[in-house]
Amino acid sequence: MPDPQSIGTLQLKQPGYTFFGGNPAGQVGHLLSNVIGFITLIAGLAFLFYFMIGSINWITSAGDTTKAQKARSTLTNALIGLVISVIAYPLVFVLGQVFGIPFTKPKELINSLIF
Amino acid sequence: MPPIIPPEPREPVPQSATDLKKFFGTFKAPQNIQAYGEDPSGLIRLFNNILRVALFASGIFALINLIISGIQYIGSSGNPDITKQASSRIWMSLLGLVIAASSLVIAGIIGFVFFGDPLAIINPSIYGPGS
Repeated sequence: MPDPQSIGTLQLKQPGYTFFGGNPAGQVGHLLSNVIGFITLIAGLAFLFYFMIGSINWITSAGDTTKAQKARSTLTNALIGLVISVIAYPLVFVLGQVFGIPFTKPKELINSLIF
Repeated sequence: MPPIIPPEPREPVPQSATDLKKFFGTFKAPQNIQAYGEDPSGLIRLFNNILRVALFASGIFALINLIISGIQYIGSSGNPDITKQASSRIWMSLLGLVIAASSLVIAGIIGFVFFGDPLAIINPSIYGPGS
């Protein structure tokens, strides 16, 4: 009867491949980190773009109340969306801490699986 | 008249468990999952791993969904349909995340209420022949 054992820290067979670090569990963490960082970056750029568009619309509304209202809602929605995108990570982190499940550390999960 | 060729004798159909074992032979578990094979509690370990991976996957999926709904909100530019869609996506992601994260707590509470032991569902004792 084999003892249950964690797979521990894995090592890659080819030592030369260190794009995400030598540890495959760390690679998953790095991959998710890159994906989430990239999406957050897209959110930031989209915020910049839509904020500019909204402000230009407001400038060119020239006293037209409906146009100004539309530009205003563009600005507020862009701001709300940016806040949601940025707050998502700390929110998930806090929820994981409250319920005792570290969602934001997949490396620990992979290293604690039993094989 | 040509001679009648008798049919070749076929392997007897396996009847009992030992015959089946002889028929199929014995398998060895793959190298890296020894802990699942030669031990009755291997299935429990497999379910344990699946549960943990599913829990973490739900958390990471909720995180990515939240960020994408934020992008949707940014791009709505005052269109009430897209705003409504994005906000319902945010609330549903949050609700699912809370349910997934608190599932173990809920299981503990249900076990405490109905069986008098918080670990009744999470860490059940399995009775079977021989134990």
